[in-house]
Amino acid sequence: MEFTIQKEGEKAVCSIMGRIDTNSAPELLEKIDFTDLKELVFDLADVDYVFSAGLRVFLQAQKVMNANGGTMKLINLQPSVKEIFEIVGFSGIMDIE
Amino acid sequence: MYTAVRNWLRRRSLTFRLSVSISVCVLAGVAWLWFYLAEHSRPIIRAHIESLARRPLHDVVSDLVASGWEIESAALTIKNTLKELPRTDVSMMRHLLHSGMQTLTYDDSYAAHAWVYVFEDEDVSTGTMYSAMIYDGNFQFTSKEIKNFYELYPWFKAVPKEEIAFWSEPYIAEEFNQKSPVITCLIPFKFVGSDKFDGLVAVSVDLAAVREYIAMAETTSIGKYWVVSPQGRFIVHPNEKLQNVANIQDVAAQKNLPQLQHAFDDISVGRAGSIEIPVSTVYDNAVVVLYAPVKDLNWGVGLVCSKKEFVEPLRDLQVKMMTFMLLWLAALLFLINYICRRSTKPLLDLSKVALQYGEGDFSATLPEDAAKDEIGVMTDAFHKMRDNLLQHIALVQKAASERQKGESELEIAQKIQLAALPIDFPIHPEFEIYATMTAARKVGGDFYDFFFVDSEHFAVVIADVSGKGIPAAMSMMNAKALIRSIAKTEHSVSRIFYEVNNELCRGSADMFITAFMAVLNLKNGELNYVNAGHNPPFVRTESGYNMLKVERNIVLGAMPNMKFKAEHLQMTTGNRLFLYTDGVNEAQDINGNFYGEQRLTAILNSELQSPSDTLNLVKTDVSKFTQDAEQSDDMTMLELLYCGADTNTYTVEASLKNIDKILHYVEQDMQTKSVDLKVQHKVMVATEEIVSNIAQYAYRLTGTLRLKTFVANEMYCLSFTDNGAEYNPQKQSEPDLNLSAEDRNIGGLGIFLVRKMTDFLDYKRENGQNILTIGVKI
Repeated sequence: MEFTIQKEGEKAVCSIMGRIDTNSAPELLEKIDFTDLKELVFDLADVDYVFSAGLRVFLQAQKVMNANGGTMKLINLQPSVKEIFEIVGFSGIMDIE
Repeated sequence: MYTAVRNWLRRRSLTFRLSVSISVCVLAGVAWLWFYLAEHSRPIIRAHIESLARRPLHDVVSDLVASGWEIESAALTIKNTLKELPRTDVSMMRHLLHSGMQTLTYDDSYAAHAWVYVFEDEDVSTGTMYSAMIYDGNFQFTSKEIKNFYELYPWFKAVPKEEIAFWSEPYIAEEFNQKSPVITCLIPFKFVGSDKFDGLVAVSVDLAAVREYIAMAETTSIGKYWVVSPQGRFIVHPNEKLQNVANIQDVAAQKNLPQLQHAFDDISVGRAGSIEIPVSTVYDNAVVVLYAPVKDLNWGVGLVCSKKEFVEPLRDLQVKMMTFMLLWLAALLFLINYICRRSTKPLLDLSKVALQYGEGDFSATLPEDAAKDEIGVMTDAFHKMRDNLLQHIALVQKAASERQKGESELEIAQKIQLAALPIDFPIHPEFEIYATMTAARKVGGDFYDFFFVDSEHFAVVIADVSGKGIPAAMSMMNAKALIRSIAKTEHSVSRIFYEVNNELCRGSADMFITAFMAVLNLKNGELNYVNAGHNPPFVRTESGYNMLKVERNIVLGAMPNMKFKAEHLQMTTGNRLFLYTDGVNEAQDINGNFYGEQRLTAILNSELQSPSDTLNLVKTDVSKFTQDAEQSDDMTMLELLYCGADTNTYTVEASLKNIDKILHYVEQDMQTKSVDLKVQHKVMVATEEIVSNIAQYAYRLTGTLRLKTFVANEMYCLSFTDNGAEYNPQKQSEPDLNLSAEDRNIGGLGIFLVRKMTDFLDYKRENGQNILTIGVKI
């Protein structure tokens, strides 16, 4: 997995490529700077697989953003990836485009 | 009091203490001397002074005697000549007296008088007086008839009628100037042939001469003189008023001085002596009077000295003595101080050096040429002490460095031993292996080994070399290499041990090795093994771990050409072989109890886990048993798990780092089997969850994961086999999907996803293995 984070003021866009698996997922959370963050966008256009470890990361990120009073958005999900989110019921608690 | 003084002194320096004690001693000596001089030396000194003072007295007495004798002899000369005379005419008499007076060495300035009286008739006192007078150098001669001669001086009658000298008492004579008294020496005479007393010869002198003489003598004397006549009248006295008037006996009586009377009595009988008079008019204080008689004249002479003259020398002596002693004390104290400082300085130096030595600084130098006194002896002792200490330290250091060296040698041996042990445990579909060696502090000679004899045969070895340390380690290396190299050409285990034994016997080292070797046929599970005096291993079958019955055989290296009986055993899937050395079963607790095979069997059968976890379990149990007791021997274990022959098995170490590898393998497999992408996605998701689960939870240490893929019932199937602890994914509860983000638990998604992604899910626990099979409809 590879990812880039672009932060402009209160907004950050995190573009991820590859598989978000057990080994790589925790790194995402460590790299995102949540201070004063009001809007967080994950671009999953190049993500093939999201495993449970990745799902946990998104859940945690969502919790932090909620606590911050900000918003989190997942965009450009591949259908298979989107299906995973739906299966675990995250489509109801996350803003997925 | 004594204790207080002693304690006070103890707190002072040696110098001070010595000074004080010596001062006290010297002062005591001075005091004693003072009293000794006062009490005992006084009479001695006084006698000495008296004898010194008596000398001038004696001279005075001698001079007086000589003067008296001169006068007497002049009278005698005149008498003797007169006796022979045939007649007595005037001119002859003048001549006689003149020549007689010539013999007097009498000072001309004093008057002298010589006369001869010749009786005409002795009875009626008539006769002629021939008189010669010398006065101021003038000689006058007269002759006249004198009647009543005895009336002239009544005391003439007292003159005995014998031809011997008679000395008069001092008296005032008419023919002199009547100021000073005179004395007269009278000698009666008889003409030759006469039978009666014919007249008197007399020589008189002025006593002023005696007084003058005494006055002169007094100038060189320590005292003043008195002279008494035979009857006690003072002829000379320091008090001039008493001269010629007072009588010594009267004075003694008046002033109540019996000692004065005593002195006079002594003089009367011709004895000398001394008396003391407490109050004297002469010196206005106490005096000492030395007295002596004057022969012939029967006078007495007394020398009156102030008592001071006798006491002062003694006092002087005492004062001088004291001054001298005090000066001497001061000098002594100075000397003591100097000596003490000089003596204690080396001591202080030594103590400084001792302090430095105490701090481990041996660079401090000791005085080299110390005196040969006690301090010199001590310095020598210090020298010896330092040398011995240095020697001792050198020895200790040497011993320490040798011990360190020995320890590092042990470490080297340990490193050799550990380096020789393979730790890359092969990941293989047909078996799993794990081994450990826990070295004792002092190296033993345990080792294990495993290797592929060929592609189908896998060999395991465990051995214990007798002895310890480097030789054991070397021997172990040798044995290990021998077994490996011989096994390359020789497949029969009994032959291998036979050859190894012979090789070891060829070596000179007296090392025995107990060893167990087994070769597993991976294809059919046949296990060939041979034992050389080693502990029988355990074998795990469905009935659990049991000790294998083995032929013990002889140890390796004992004797050449020995046969080692090989045995064999059929292994089935999940069977295990557990090898160990006596470091395990003979591990001792602090009370010396052995761990024993019973405990070993029990712990092995307590829980079925992967080989690595099994060995770890045993190790933990052994340390729990031995507690603080030191490990006395190496503890070596090896477990070989047979997993059965299988060709389509992908075997990999169950580790998170291998997740990519596994996913890649599965992906490739699905692509070769042209599996639909949607199915692929589901399989991939499920696989990732299952592998990460096994990797994280199945093993505590490490273990193997076997993956088998197959297509059955129109499903793409995957089975995951591991030897970890038992788990059942089907028992996992499902997460509540309707909760908000805050309330959702982060865990528990993995197994849920697996269930959602798969159409078939099956879990089995078989032969200590977990087998999970999933299937996704194609």
